[in-house]
Amino acid sequence: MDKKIFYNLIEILDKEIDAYSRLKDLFEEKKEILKQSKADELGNVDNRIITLNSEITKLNKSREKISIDIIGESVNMSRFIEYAKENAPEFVPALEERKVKICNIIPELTLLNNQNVELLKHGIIISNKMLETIINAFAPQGCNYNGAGKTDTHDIDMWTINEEV
Amino acid sequence: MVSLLSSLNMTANTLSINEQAIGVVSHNVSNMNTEGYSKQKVNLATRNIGGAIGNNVTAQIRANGGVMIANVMRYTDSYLNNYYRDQLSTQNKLDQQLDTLKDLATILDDLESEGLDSALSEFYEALNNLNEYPASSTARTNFIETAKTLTSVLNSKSIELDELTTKALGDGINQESLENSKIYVQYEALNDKLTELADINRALQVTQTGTLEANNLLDKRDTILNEISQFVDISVDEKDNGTVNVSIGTTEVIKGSKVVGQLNIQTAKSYCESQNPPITYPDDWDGENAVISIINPQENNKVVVSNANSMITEGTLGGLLHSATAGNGETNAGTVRESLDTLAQTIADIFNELNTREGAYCIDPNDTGKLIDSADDNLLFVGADGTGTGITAGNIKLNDALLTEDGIWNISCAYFDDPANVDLNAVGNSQNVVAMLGTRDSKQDALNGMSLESFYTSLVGKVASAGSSIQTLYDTQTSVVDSVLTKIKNTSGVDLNEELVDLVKYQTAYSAAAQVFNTCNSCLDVLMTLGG
Repeated sequence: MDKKIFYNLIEILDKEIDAYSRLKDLFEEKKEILKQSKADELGNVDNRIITLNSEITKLNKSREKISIDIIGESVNMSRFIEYAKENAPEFVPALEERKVKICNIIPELTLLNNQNVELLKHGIIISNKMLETIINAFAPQGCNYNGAGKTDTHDIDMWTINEEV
Repeated sequence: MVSLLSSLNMTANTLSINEQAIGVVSHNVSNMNTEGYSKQKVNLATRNIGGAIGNNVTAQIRANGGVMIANVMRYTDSYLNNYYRDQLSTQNKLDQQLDTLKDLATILDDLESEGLDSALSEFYEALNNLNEYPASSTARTNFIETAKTLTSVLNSKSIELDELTTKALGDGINQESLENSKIYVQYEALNDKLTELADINRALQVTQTGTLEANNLLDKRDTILNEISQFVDISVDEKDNGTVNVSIGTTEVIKGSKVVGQLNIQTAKSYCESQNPPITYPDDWDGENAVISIINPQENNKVVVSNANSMITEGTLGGLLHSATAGNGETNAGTVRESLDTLAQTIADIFNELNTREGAYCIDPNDTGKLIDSADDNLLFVGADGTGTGITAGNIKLNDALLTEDGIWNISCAYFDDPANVDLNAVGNSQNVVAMLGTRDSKQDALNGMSLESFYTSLVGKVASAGSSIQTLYDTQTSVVDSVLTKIKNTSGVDLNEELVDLVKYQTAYSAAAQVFNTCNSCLDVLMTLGG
């Protein structure tokens, strides 16, 4: 078994872990921007995330290639470790260490991403409400009537977002 | 590392804060056409986590950082607001003066044949006729009728001036007349506004500054201050919590949540009687028909300023209060009355003097072919007391003796400058009438060197000129007020374009961000697969 290929695998895994860590930092930054509704900076951080994503995609592909070279298919860390136990046990601790790091970063990234999704949904709802408000401001302020009399007083309700949250 | 619970709490807090922030934007847009509304903006800040140390988990969760509303900023400019109020006071005073001058112009309007100018002209025409037929009873009756018309016109002008002043300030005597006057309505409205402002101050004292509620109260406060400025010129001292102390002149009327200076109004007569020692009304009183004083309701209505009229010079109240006071350099009902009184007294003086002078002869009513010496009390015009003194436009009238059956013969048409050559049979002598006619063009010292007719024409011109001048001032002042208001609106007003640009910016950014999540999700899927 060529050990060099394991060294390559570990190097790529380290690069991936580093890239995901940087992605986590960008998610944090994005969360702050969404919280403070800084629309100008949102595009900036999104561009940096897209760039990093494309870097991660390239690393993923490199790792998948090595995985196919070693095992014959794209596998996860557990399979890498099992394979290493049988064919190159000296790499097992290093791989297990990388697995822990990956497993730790997954919930953090997922949580941040979900938070950002919620914040963004909130922002979209709010901007839609603002648009509605502005349109109402332009529209003549009248009331709706039916056979039973007045049905709607054109009150602007901004607080349905509570239900959304 | 941020814990899951902490993160969730932070996110929920952020959503709530954003809701409040967007609520302010909505408030701005909804109130963009509301008079007096000042645009507001939420300032966000990072939450302080300094207090969340130790083992208190709840406190840690609550104070877990994130974002908070530092304050809700209100776009306003105190200098502009103060300047606006000053200009508003002046504009309202000018508006009031303009109203008064328009009324005065109507009173003096002689376009119709019933005016004073026409009456004077007919009076002299009748004299001219009398000059030709001094012994004619028709000519004499005609003269008396035109003289009567002249006094009636003066009387009616005086009554109209009285009504104008009474409408503005009451008649100076009756409480009911005061309560029906314009100034009473203004005074009541001003007191209501002062109470309203004190209530706003009270609310501001218990409302946290920098909040939406406080800002709304401040808008109300500014609106009320503007309304008060329309009545009277005020000085405003703003405190840190947004409350204002207000003074009229140097007298504080609002202090915090209390009205310490309420206006009180009374008739001039009632005011004079309440003084110590009492002032004899109207003989020793040369002030306005209504007197405003300032009392302190917090100290059992203690009188703070007994006569505040001189302090109130601007605003509608200032314009009304001084609309009938002569001698302040302005043309108003007071100066017009003074001029008409002078004219009435001068007419009486001139013709009484000529009718009773030495050498003047009238016709003997018992023998209309004979002249008799005119007695000293053979006056043509008299005042309320039947003498030739103290005559005003309001009380001038023909001597009752002229209005009797034989009264027409009391007009002294004949004049002999040499007592030695008096011809008592010369009933056709009209030398005295000639002298009377001569007054038409003669310059009178009492009328500033003008003749009777030119004095009145000058008075009409003065009112017209003052009206035109005040109209110009008012127009200019209106431009100033509008310009300051525009500046205030530029500072405080809601710019819908600005809000729309922000909105488009948000929507574009959010749409782009939504696309990014798809990319991130596929990366995270790969990561989760890898970590398995």
